[in-house]
Amino acid sequence: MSANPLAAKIAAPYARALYDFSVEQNIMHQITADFQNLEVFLSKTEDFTTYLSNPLISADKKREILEKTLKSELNTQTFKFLLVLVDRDRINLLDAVIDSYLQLVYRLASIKMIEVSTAFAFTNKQKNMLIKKLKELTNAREIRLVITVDSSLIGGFLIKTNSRVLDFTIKNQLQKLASHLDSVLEI
Amino acid sequence: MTTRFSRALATFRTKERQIFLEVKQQIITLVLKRTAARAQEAFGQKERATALINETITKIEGDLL
Repeated sequence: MSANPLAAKIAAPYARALYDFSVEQNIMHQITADFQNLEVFLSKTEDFTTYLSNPLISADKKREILEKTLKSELNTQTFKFLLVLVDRDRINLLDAVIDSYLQLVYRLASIKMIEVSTAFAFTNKQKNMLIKKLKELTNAREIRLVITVDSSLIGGFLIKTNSRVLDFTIKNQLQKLASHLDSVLEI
Repeated sequence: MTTRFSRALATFRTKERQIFLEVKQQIITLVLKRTAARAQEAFGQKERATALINETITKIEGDLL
């Protein structure tokens, strides 16, 4: 199951389909973990990969060995995907599919998703300005903005990432004013 | 007599504090309501809202994310 350009080309649509499915079902994390483990496992079990690649061995036998060895170790969807590869006689491309899938995931990893809540919708020019600024600050290759409009913020916007919330809204300033008044008004 | 006077004084202070707290809360609410109304009026205009967003974008700095 060595990766070659032809195998990579055939494997790519399978990887892409699984990738899209994992995004849609919100199980990318599990599938990625499974594939990372499988990659290590396959690299250490040459006999196993040779067995799966052998065209003389029937699909039923391959399915049987996969069930015995991997079913309990993998996420249900990952395992179902392996069975699809067996059914389509593409299990010999498992290495290439794993490689292609992980490349897609890793590429996504350098795309930073940033949620923006704003009182007023951003213009395209503002979106581009913000993306440019965030690229400078995060060193991310790509920035993907997920913008929601929330008029209760009164003005300005807030930025949410995995680790931080940067609140530049008028609502937040009013909340700060409230706590300031509470602390400065002495009885 | 002294005990009764002390109790009355304590009750008075508690009431006094309670009233002050209520007045404080009313002042804060009033200030916030007025400020919120002014902010809504000011930033409800598209030009001001756009300008605020633009200013904020240019002001973001540091190792933020």
